[in-house]
Amino acid sequence: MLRKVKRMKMWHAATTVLLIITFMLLASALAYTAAAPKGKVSIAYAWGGVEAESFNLMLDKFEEEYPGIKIERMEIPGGEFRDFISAKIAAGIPPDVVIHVLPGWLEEMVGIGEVLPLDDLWDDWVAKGWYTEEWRNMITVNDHQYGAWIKASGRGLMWYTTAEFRELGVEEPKTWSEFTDLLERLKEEGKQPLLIGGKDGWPCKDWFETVLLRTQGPEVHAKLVRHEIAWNDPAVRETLEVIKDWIEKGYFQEEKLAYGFYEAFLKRTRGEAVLQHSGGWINGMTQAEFPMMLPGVDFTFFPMPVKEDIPFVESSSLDYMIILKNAKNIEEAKTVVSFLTGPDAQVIWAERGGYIAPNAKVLLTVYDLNSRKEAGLMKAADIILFNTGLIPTEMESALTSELQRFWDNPALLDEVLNALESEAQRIYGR
Amino acid sequence: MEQKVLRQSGKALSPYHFFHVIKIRKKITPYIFIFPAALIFMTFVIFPTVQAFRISLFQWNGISPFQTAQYVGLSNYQELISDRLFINAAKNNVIWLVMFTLLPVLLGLGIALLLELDIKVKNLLKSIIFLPTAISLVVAGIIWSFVYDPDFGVLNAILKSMELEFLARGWLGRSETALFAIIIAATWISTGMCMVILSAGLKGIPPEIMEAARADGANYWQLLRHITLPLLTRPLVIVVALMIINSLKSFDIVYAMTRGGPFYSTDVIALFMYRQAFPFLRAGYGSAVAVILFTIILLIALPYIRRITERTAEY
Repeated sequence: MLRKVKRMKMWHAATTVLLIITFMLLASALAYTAAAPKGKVSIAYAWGGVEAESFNLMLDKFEEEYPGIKIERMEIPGGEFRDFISAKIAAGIPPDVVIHVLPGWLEEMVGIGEVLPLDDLWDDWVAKGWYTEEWRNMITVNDHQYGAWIKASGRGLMWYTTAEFRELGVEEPKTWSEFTDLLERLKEEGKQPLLIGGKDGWPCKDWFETVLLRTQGPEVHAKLVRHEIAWNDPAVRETLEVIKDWIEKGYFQEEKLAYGFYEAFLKRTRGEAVLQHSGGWINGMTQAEFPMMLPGVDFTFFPMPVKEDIPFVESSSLDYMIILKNAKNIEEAKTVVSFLTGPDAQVIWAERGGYIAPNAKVLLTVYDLNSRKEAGLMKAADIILFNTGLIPTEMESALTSELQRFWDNPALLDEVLNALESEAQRIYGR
Repeated sequence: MEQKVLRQSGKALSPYHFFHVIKIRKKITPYIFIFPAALIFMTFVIFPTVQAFRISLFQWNGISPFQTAQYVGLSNYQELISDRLFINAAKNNVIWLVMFTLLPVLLGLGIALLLELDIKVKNLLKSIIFLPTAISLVVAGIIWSFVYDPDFGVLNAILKSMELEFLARGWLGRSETALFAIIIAATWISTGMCMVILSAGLKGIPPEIMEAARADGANYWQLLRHITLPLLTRPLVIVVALMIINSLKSFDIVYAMTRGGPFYSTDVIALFMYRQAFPFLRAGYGSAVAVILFTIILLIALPYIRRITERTAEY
């Protein structure tokens, strides 16, 4: 009897082991089949809220026109985006199409051979007059085009509500000195001139970049992002000294790192500050949050003016799409990318606001007043520059953190600059 | 019965062989039962740990096939020694270690001792204090982010209502307060667990020892100092070791509340490791951090493991 019980126990154990092994094999098989769908394209993007809504309308239109291809939409929070993509690639189940904004990341992904070149598609797009050679050059890495443009946005814009300007009797500044006078005037009127959502980090970086471009010019900017000049160069110091002066004069709010960009946006719309530095996406956000406010009538922007003798260059955010080399549905992905980079798709978002179409066939007439002003500004600018996203990811992270430290305590200017240079030497020299 | 089986097999086994077979089966059976758990443990714990040791000797982006990795020996470890951000994260971990060990343990001990007194609603109080332990660290992080909100947060509201407005601030936006604000949130979660373990320890103290001491004229503090605390050594060691391990592993609550910011003032080793391995695509360097963290935790955990596997009676 005892032996029988023991034998049964052994059988139970053996069956358990077998069941676990079978379960693990089945799970692996299922994971593999799930990773290889047919007629389905997965797209990963970091837009949320009203931006994601507009983008989804573009995808809906695609599914309508190409009913054989289903789109799997992967909306990933911006903070986790790159980590998510890296993990997916490492696991061998990458999304087919990835949309990102930082060109430095594109260079890194191309460098490790994970991106499919789209040269043949670009020949077609340029031939159709969708994009000029300049736009093609901007996505070129090592003589190949690895991405396609989907969204553009000006970055060095100062947003305000028109009623507030009217009430104070002030006008949009056209020159650097008019701009600094305006800040002083607002302060004298008992208003908070500027607001920054420093908690998110990137607004500090955007502020720095715009002031650098407006006070030192595009050449210094280009050299800095390539580390051809040091981070403690006098030009960079001068830029931060301008911001330091504004902080010390109390132009920015007291708690600079306590709020993120979105909270800062809400605070400005509540009248807690007059001007907010931001990209064009704030146009779409305002229309979504406050539908009664008319773009260009109730709220608008002016580009931060340049210092005398400095050429005006609009620093732009350009969102691009890439197809990953190990994507499961490359041909379908190419169809989707071609559609999204075309005028029929881009006009959908352009009509909704907070978006500038990179495609030249999208006419200015489709935009609201603010976007039209922004698009005109970008077309008028001699060069469209990438933002500081051109620098390596690790350097970008260091820059964001060091600039937060500077905003928190501008007296640490020298320490911040030296820390940045030491990080740059470590990262670029590796 | 046994003889019948032997006869059915057609072979006559000598008594020696018979007992030998039984002995072997006895030896094998536990291993068969352990095998499924061991398999899972090997696959998900031992194998990745060994791999981390291996990867830490390479320069690898974590995405490309491992064949493309470049062997760099111990240079990842050498770089760590001079990496100011790693040193900063390690310093923050030391602050975590001290505060996150002291606060929950002392609070847990205090509450456990209070609940030993004759309080009517002590079970309800225990449940309330233990409740946060059931909440995930990420959720707790979000809850406390609301508490610390500079405009709508409860903390600033309380300070303002007490006419202490000058103390109100953006707690998570300032480098001098952010780290402590997170540790306090983590303390809120862990105090309940410390209290429960220490409460169980208190229950295990034989009442006759206390009665004897009382009969000898010992007051409350003397009882605490000379009887309660010495007899609580074992649960205290367990709780302290657990808190030290948790403080070194701290990641999720920091990620949920500040992501290491502002300007790395709340960064910790686990977060630094994650940043290197994933966003920065430096799997080799990240693995070197993991190996160091693993070694530190192992050194601290060994006495703890030895303690909890000890079978000798305390009294």
